[in-house]
Amino acid sequence: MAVTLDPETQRAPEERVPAATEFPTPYLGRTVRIVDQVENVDTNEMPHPKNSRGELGLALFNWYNNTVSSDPLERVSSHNHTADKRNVFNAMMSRTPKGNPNPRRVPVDDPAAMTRHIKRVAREFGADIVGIAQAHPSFLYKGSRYVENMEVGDSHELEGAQELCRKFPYLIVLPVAWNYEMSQAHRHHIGDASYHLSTQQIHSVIGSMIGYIQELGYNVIRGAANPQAVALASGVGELGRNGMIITKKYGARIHLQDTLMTDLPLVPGKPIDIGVEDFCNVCRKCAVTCPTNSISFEGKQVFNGVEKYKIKWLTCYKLRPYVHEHWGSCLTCVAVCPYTKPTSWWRDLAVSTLSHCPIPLRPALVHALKAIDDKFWGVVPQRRVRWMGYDTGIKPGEKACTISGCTADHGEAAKAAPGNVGYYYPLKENTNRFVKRA
Amino acid sequence: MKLPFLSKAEEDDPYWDFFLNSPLSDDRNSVATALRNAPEGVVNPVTDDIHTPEVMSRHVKELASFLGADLVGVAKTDRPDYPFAVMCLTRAEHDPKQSPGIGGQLPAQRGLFATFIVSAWIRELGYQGTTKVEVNNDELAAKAGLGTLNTDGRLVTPRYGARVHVSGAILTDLPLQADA
Repeated sequence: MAVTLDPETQRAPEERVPAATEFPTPYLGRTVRIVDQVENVDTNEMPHPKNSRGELGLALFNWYNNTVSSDPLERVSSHNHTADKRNVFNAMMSRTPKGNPNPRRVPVDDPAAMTRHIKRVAREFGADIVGIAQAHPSFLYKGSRYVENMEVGDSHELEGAQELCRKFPYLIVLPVAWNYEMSQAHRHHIGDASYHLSTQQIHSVIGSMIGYIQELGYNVIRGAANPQAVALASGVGELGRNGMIITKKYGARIHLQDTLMTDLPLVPGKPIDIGVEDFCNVCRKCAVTCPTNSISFEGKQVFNGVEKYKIKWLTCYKLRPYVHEHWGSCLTCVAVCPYTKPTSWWRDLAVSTLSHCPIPLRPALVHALKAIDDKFWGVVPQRRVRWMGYDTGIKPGEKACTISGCTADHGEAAKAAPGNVGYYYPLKENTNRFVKRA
Repeated sequence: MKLPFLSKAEEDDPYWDFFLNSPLSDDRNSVATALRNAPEGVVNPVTDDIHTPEVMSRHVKELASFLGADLVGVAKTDRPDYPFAVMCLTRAEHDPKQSPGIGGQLPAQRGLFATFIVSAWIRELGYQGTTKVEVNNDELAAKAGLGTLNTDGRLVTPRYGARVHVSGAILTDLPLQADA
């Protein structure tokens, strides 16, 4: 009997290795479930690339491309709101010449020892968490890389996702945590500073790690995979209702950036369970406080074959040009998340109690923890934060200091603003100008 | 029983010496090199209003230590063009001058990262701020009251002893208040 050869593989059809066995559907923890075929995310359809093509309207386009910030700290930490890009670290890094892998490769006999070493080295560089995951084709972006403001090109851009995963089987994500006190000043220049300066730190961590893996003699591809998928698969955290990765030690206050894909032999991590699934089912604190109502009050949705909480990114993004004078990055959903707390024993105790609690009993425990959180941190947290001359206790528009970016009252006027309440623009009363509450 | 403070991570790590001491095969793989060769941006033509020298000194120190400098001090120089020097020190378990690996250079890199952003911030405020002028770092750091010089001319600090690296001075004409 004649066997018709498959036109692609030139082998008999039954010999064809189905992709499912080589790359089994990855388990991403309890918060995210892959239920269907996942199409690789096209980087050109992501918010910033869409905006830089002008597809989101003139106001957003001008905010992103033609605005110089009035805050001097943002001018040195945000590459698209600066007057001179040479004053911004990540813009400088994108222009510096790139190195090559060491031709004398360091042999790796024990991947576990190398994993311990890479984790230790990453902490030395300044990463707060290190996640290592097994590469899976569905984690990768379609076609190109996504590295913000970086002209990256590598010789593997034309290779398919499966081929890349075979050649470079490990993905590394290196999150840096935001300072807790500063990120409590959400919708304010202080929160911006913690966000943007951590961007610079993470660019230094990633740049150092690429350099080090290349010095070991192995190859690295930057920005090939979705960092959230890698963070879930490697056990950095779980995906919350606010669309942020919620970690065991820092809560939602971590900054994920470009992932590194490498052929350095490592041992991948496993997804963790810290009870985010049970907490987000009950809490909705981020959905209530979101100034644009971009966070859903309802359950999970299936999007692109993945069951997860989905945020409305467009309304989140659209607010920015209107508030640019007051802040650049919102961070409200990070600041109010009950998991976001200072690093302390009582926080670790609460999280480990929840993660060791049997799943049927968790809703009751979550209700208790949420009540404690509402009692001590407020239903809508508005803490006053002072840092480097910035002060969130001064109402927007009422600043006494003439120094650009500075919102503080100094000397006599400081006494005029007592109390412990921070004011975060847009204030609650004019939130509905931007979007109607559902 | 496993106690975290008794962990033998250092003995178990066969690659640690490579991290500290192996010379670079390609100099471009080092972020410290990129920082050393980075061009400096222009001084903002619009000078911002600034606070009093005492407050500005406090802000410069707060920013530098947020960015990873372990000790920060302000010294007065005898140059008319740059009357002040901001000194950023990092703790160095291994002397970057003797450990050529990426790990050995890390204290220098951390210091250069802090001075890069702080000097850029000073330029964005509309004042001169540069890290490219060669000065005697250890001497200026001693002048900033961060420690004293030993007989070899190296800086010794009360907190970290001689295990510090002075990665560079930011020379500036921003009105600051010198320490000590």
